Amino acid sequence: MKTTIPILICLLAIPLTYSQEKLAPLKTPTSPASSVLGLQPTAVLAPKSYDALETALYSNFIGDNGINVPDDFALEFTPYWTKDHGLTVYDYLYAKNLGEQLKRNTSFSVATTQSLVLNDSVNTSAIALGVRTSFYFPNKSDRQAIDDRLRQLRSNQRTISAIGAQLGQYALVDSSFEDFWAHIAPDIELFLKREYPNLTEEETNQFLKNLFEKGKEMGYNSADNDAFMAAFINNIDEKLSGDQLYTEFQEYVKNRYGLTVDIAYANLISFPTNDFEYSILPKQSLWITPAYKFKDGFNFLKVLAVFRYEWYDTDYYARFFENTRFYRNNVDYGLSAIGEFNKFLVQLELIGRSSSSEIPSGTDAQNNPLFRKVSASDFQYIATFSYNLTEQINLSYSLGNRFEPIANDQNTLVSLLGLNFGFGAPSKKDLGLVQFSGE
Amino acid sequence: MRKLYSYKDLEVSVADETEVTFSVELISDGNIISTTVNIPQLPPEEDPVIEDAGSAPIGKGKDLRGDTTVVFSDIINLIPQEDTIEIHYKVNGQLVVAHKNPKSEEVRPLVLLLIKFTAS
Repeated sequence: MKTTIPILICLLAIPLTYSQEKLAPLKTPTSPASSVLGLQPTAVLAPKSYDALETALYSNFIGDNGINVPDDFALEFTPYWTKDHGLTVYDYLYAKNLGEQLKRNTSFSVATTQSLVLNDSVNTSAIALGVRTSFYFPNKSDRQAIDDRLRQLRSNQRTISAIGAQLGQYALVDSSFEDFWAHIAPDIELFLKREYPNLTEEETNQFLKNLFEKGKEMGYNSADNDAFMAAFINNIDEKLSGDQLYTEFQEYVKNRYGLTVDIAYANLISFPTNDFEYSILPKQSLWITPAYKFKDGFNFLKVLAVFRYEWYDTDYYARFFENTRFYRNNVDYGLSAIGEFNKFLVQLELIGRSSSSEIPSGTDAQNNPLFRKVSASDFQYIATFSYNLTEQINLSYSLGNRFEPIANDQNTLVSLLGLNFGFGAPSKKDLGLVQFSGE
Repeated sequence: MRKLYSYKDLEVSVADETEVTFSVELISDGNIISTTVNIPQLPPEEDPVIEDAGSAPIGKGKDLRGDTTVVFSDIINLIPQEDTIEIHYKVNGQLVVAHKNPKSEEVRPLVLLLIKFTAS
């Protein structure tokens, strides 16, 4: 029954979802260059050194006949992280000032295509260049959350390192597990009481009893004790929930309480004749996205605001995209609220759009050119409901009204049903997305 | 299971009257470490502990002879920009071990050093 429900929903939703486009997310894009180009690259190269950057550019842009524009190419480069700085975790989490944040978080992106179709028929080359940065403004709640997690991690680490140092000593000299245990047990008890004063006598004894029983099964060998030491210390780490503390801290760092402001800019360079000697800059975009994550009673809630400005060269679009209408200045502004309740997620999104152009309308008596201003406004509202059926399967449904698409201005209803399966998704590293994205 | 990186048979020469200082230096970014230096002559609760980076005096050269000095570090790294963990261990400013491991191999490595202090 559990499996038939999602299948049934999918079948019912086919008429609703047919031929709808994917919704653009309301946030600053990770790769602004790819976004301005409308590219969804299969992989984004993220070189971690200048040598790797040089290799990536050289191998993709230099061909037998000189410089060429590669197809479906995206690259993201963050200069600060090409070097080690020996930052402690506090230095990393709390940059000294905004200048330092600018240095750390600024990344540059390049995206290229050979498939920018002009006049519905000609494939041309285009390059997009982008820059992105992010500023985070920590608050007291964040400091508290970091301090609490760090305190627990540090207690865990002090216990492990103190036991490890004794363990190394005894494993060198003790010939049997019983001798070893007689030496190490009082030390473990000492360190547990030092770092976890709230543990009761009974809990401590139970901890030691379990450790002894497991330890005996591990195959003590004083001549080759690395495997035993690793297993023994891992057993302690497991009992102290070391992996869970690490995961929780890592998750929190990805989504901290407080205000984050993402800023990005990108422009598009088009080569309508596929000749490097002739290029046009037809489109530029600027994104500013503040996001606020609440704490305590509202810690399920995240609120995003968006400001997006897009500039189009209307002469270019009138010439190469004949049946579509573009405005020169386009401003999107809006809000999105995301609420997470265990497996259920609700996202509400409201965005307004204001577009305007100045069109030549003749000359005055002194022969000065005159312009007429044309403008339009639009509104988009979408609600998305998402539910994790299992750890690997997510069901989502979006309903609302979108902006008038450029190609088909009658089709604004949004009714999208999605079923996402996870089969051990590749990591960002696998995809070359190793830089911090804040997502 | 967390991986244990052990560096054994390390030897450092120090004169009898030389004060020995053990140091931990962060090379890669965003590491959280606790390092305990086991000094056999001291009770366990008095073993020096270094959090993240820093130095600790561990005694005079003559007091460290004979026994093996054990150093144990618990390391974690949770920052996405870093793909390698690199830590330097030094005695009196001299590099003893440069530990380096890719995070793809282990994000929470354990490091064990066994050092013998010999007369110079």
